[in-house]
Amino acid sequence: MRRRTIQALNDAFLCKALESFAQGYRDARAEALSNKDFGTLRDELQAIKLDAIAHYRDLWLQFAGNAAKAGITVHFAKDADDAVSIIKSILTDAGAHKIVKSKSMLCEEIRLNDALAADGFEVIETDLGEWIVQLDKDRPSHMVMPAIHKTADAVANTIEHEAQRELGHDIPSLVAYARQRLRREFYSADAGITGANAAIASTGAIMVVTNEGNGRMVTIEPPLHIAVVGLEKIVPTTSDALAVLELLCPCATGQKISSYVSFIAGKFDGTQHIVVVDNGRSAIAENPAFREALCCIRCGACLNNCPVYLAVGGHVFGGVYMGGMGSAVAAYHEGIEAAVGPISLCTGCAACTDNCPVGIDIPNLVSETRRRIVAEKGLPPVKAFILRRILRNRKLFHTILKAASHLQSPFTHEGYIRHIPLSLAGYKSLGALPALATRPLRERLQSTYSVGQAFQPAIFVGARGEKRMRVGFFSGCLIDFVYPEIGEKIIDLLAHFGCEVVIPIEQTCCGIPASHIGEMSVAAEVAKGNLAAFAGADVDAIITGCATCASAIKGYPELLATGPYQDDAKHFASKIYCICDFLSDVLSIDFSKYSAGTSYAAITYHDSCHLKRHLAAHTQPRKLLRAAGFNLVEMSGSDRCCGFAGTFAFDYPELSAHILTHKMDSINATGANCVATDCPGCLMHLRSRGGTLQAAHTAELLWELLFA
Amino acid sequence: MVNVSPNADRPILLDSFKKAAQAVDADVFISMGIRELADEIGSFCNKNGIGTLPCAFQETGIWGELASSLIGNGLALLHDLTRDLLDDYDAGLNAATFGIADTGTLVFLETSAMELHPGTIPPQHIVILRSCDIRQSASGIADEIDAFILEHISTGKPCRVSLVSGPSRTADIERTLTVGVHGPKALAIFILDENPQISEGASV
Repeated sequence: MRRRTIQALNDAFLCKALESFAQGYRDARAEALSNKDFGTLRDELQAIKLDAIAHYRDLWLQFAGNAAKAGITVHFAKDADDAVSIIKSILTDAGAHKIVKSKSMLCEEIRLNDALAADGFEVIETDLGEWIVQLDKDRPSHMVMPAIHKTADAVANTIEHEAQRELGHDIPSLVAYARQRLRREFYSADAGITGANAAIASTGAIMVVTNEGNGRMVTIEPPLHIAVVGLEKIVPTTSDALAVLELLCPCATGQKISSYVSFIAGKFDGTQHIVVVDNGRSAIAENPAFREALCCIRCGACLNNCPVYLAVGGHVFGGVYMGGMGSAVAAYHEGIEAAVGPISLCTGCAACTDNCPVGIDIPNLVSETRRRIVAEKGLPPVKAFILRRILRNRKLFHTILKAASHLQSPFTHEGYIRHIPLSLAGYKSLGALPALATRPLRERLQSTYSVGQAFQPAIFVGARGEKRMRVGFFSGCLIDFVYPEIGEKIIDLLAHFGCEVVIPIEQTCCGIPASHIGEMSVAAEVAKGNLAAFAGADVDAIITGCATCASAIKGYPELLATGPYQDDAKHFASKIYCICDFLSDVLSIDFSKYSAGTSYAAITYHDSCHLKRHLAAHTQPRKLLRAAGFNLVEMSGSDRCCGFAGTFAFDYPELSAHILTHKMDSINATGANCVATDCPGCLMHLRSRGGTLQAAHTAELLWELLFA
Repeated sequence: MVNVSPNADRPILLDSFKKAAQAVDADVFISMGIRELADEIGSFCNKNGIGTLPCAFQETGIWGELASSLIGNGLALLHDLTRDLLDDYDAGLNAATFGIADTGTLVFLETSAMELHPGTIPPQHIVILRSCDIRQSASGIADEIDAFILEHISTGKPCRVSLVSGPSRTADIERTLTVGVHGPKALAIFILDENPQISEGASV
């Protein structure tokens, strides 16, 4: 997979096209949704789809019965082979040879074109992008724009080769040729094959949405129409199909509506067959943890907002469906093996979910799939060793990190690893990696503050002034071993504002490296370790400086849902706060009292994915910084992933660096001389580029106002 | 029989429809009466070199009057359309049953391929619509779509409902919007905006 990402990143046109697409799509979508309440429409559509999935058997029977009344022959295909076999039989019985098709992801899923071509059928794609891809013997790289990866010149060469003459390389001439050329095919075809965007149980009609008009030609002109429809596309009523339409178009192409929407109930002057395909869908419907995957309306909004897709395009994923959603469903449609590579490309940023018109929790589906992969196929040996032997054992884990902090000295300079050992040369694109702190946070604190054994071994930092509450501090690995100074500053702030701070010594990793990869048993073990470390601490709240850790801890109740730890996990998770969240919402600190001055002319703020999308705590840092007198200038795409995502950066360093470059461009465009964030992982990534731009944890900036 | 009734929202819906249709590259013409509508269509056809107009609409009631006026304006109307016949003409005309103001969409309730062909085969699609048939949103015609389809499938007859918003388009090559791919290259919508007080009780 890494080699594929590097190849894509070296394709300058692809990168430029995707970048231009990203901006254009965002603007168009915002305009198309400008008069709509997206949240309400999304919730309504999600409810419609979930209800339809819950009743998919009844709806299938109702749809088949009503379609039959319109003279349509309805078939049920249990899998891809079955679907292909049914379609071949229909074509053979009708004596069809030439087939025109309009774009259908399901036909791609069942590999229909290859199967038909192998049996001597002539299959012609008629969507312009699909036709170009077919002429090139290529694969679509986007659900809605299949040829987005090709330049106009490359397309011109392809079409001129087909035309056997020069056409000129201007796009209108190429489109005009395609119109004239494919007209012949529409008129002479024996059959037309389409997909459907919805199938309506109450009427037996299907809804087909296109822009080019090829869908109308394919369904009208040939004497035989075959619609290939996924089982999940059946909705109860026309109103439900219109609800799909209302969000499909804005989310797919940024249009309020596509040029042509057809509700088709039977075939004029010919025959119609509808092949409803299961191919793993009923298995998904029966799995409560994965069921919502069937809500997908194939708009591609998840891809259009995915930092990985927008960096490398769709071919890298290798399958028919792309992005996190595509990688997750691949396990059902094509088997678990098909999901292994592409699933590793998900950063877990959740931008897909934010923009999904059906509100599918795609990162959760990705996690479910990763769990399945680990359960069925295991982990690569190195990762298995690190997670199961080292991370699981806190003492060993911390001893190794401490040893590494001593051994790294020949390679470090001023806090950064400057001379990368040969074994790490592949990671040089990650830029300047920070050295491990020579003394981790707990050691530093132990030399300053008292250590007690009242419940578990812990460091106690007294409240300054009147004590308001007693809080715990969860450091997380990065603050403990890389940025201990941030931990000290957070503790300083807490003590200053009247908190007695308890720092249990035996706390360990939050578990996210394990849960991210799908090794849930290790994640559960370290979660139990943290519950034990804080047991009896009797704190009102637990504060962390790491949004990722806070997010992981919020997930402990689900992680430990079965067994004796359930109540403790809920209790622990209910107490966790990020520092800004806590200062703002719990302590209600008014930082305007401390706004004496800052050395930064302007700062900007990077939303960590976990803080914004998993914890919904992104307004608090801004509120504090503004109150403290910082000139906060918003960057474009402040909530776009920086590309770190933990192990992702080390699995795909070049891709991670590419995503970071976009982030740095957005930051630099603001003119700010400092970027603030609340995630040490993001901070590490943002600092890796060096230069004059400062990157700081929000708590550091606030601390400087009080103590510097 | 659909009675035309005064509708306080009609000017707002008409204005919204016009703007939304223009935003998707349709030309929109509004006429206050049949005579004026026929003149507008005649003028448009003259300007575009269209002398014969293949038509697929029910020439009864108010649209019957329009057909007579168009013929009176010197246009030849062609009926009994086939695909091959339409291939030889530059324009086709049909009537939309509804308009949708939010999106500038035309709604056609169709029972034969012939009714579709004016909007699929020639490069210029011409549509007539009455302003009283404009609805706010697509969700507002769900019942009409259902009723139409159920009526036909109950008798075993195929049918379809087409929602058309602007001419055909693609952005498949370098995301450059190009109008006119497999469907019409242009869409002209002629709206009859009768004075509700005068036309109340008129029917189609």
